[in-house]
Amino acid sequence: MRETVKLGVRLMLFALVAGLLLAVVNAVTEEPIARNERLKADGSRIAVIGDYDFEALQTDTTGYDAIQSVYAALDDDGQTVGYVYELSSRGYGGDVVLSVGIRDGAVSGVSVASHAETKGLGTADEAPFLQSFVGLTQADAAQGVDAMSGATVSSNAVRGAVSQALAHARDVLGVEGVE
Amino acid sequence: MEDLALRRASSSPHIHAGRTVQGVMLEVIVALVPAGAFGVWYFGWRALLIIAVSAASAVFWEWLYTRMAKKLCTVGDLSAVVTGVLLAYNLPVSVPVWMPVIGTLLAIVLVKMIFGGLGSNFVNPALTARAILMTSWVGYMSGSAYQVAVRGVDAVSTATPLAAQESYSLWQLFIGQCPGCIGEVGRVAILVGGVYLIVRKVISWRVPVMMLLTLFVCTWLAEGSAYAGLYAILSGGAFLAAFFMATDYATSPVTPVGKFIMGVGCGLIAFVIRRFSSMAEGVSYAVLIMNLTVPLIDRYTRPRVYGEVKKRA
Amino acid sequence: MDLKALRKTFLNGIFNENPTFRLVLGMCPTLAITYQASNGIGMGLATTFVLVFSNLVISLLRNLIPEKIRIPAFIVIIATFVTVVEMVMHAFLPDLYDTLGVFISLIVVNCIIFARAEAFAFKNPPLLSAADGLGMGLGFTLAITLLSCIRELLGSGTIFGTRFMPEWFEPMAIAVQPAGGFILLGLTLAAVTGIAARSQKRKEAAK
Repeated sequence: MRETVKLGVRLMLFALVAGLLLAVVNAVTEEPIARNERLKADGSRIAVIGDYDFEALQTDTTGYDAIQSVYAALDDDGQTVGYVYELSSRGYGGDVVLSVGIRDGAVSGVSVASHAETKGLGTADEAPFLQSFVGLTQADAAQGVDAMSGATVSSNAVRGAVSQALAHARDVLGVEGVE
Repeated sequence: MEDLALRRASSSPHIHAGRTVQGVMLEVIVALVPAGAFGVWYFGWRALLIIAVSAASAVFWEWLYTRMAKKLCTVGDLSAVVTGVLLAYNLPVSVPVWMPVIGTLLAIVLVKMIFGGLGSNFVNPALTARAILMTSWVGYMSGSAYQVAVRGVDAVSTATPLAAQESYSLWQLFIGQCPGCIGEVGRVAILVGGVYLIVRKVISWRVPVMMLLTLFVCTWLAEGSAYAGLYAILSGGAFLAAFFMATDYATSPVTPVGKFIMGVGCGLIAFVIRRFSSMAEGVSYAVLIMNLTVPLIDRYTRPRVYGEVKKRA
Repeated sequence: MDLKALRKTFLNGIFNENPTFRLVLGMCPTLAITYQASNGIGMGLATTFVLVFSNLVISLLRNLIPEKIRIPAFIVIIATFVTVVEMVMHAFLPDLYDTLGVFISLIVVNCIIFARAEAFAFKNPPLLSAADGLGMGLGFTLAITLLSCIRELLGSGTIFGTRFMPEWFEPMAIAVQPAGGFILLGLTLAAVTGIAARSQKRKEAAK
């Protein structure tokens, strides 16, 4: 019994010293880590609407099954300049996760965060396809954008998601200019 | 290296049946010709080019390997030709010419030769090569790569009948008026070739029949109509795989019971892959998976030696 | 400290007992992250850092660690250094951190580190142990970087992001996927074993 206690104490001492070392390193790296994480999370939002601060919006998304979260883009005065939608839509090989920015009543940008598609997304076709959504103001127009060749299902996933974002902005948020 | 299962398949005396590896391979090549002819008929001269390049490069790789590894040249047994032709039959007609060259390199050197040559491969060489090509160059191997070239009419790029459900009649599927790979569309020709091999006792009827039967029954039960079942066995590479791929000597069981099991297994796995996964074609992976289980099947279906008493546990 | 012994120990980890190709240890990260050459270097150097310091500390404490609890003690020490690496990477190399992901934490159970702790550091003086750690780590780094270069070249046409293959080369996607990783690892292992066997034969013929 004494032997076990001795061993236990010994081990505890090791763990203590290890913990101390880790605490020191943690203190040094805490801030850069937090900064990096924020940049990573906001990076995709900045990409679709611009360099603003983002605030999560509590809003009713029933009926819009693709919308995962909505963010308000705030400028330096705290005024809402636009919105960023984060959506997830079923594609060919899995879910397509994308962000849609809406500003001044029109789509300001679309960016795909992750997907499991085999064609279209992740190739050279992706950029021009996503670019063709920019400037759209009508939810129905989003459905009519030309699909990527050979990637109909993937294109439908993106088109449906953008359309839902526009429809939600129009009906629930009452964004001006969106039809 | 003795194969224990073979030693107990039947007791001596044995008689030499007069067969040679070369002879068997020649029969298989003869049986494959009708399917190839249909492919060329429907897809044009390019199909013949792909088949020829594939067979030639298969022979080349085998010759090169035996030369570099300082082993006896086995090109004469024609098994490389068979592998090359079978690989070509599994490719769409629109593949670039270098694809069968790479494919046969994989099939002959990687799957067959470095494991010990003919009879020592543990998976089907042509199918493995096809799987690797499919994963490596998806664009060339699937989807819009399939073409239909009904005599005289322009080729149309379209998805395989597996993905485009119910748009072809059973008869069209049977005689090959549908998209697909070079050798898999002429199903009536495959059937003819397959029956020829069975009659000549080159392959056993058990694996192909059980495989197609299982796939048919499973699809029938799942979809609720015998028509769906028939459609299933007539689409994709099921016919080609059943008669020519699952029956490869080195990778199918020795005993009759074992062959039954393999056939059922192939059919079952093919059904599961087609139905529950996002892949359109399941038979190649089904055969490959069953290839891996063959040593196990052989071990558990060993026939009892005459006079052997089972050990009490 | 005997410089010759140090050199011999160090080189042992790179050639004779290369952890990837001769000891066949640390296969998990090898197969998982070697689809990109930059991953190979990143993971290899992170592992080397952990190897050197854990070997050093374990060797320094080898008389203080009771035999009975040596395994938990090793794990505490190794895990501490892995966590340090993870935090530093997260703070200063966020892209590499994101790419390697969970495999950084998995360095703790990388067999190489544990095997060297048990087989060498626990029984040898600190400087020698550190040399062994360095040798093994660099050997591992070289091995997985080599494999990564091969896989990235075949699977994407690039090495470290710059295109090396000619225009007409169509990348072989399977090389950057797990199945291709297994196949290419096997082939590379076969090649290295063949070269080693041949040099062994030549050494013996020269005797």
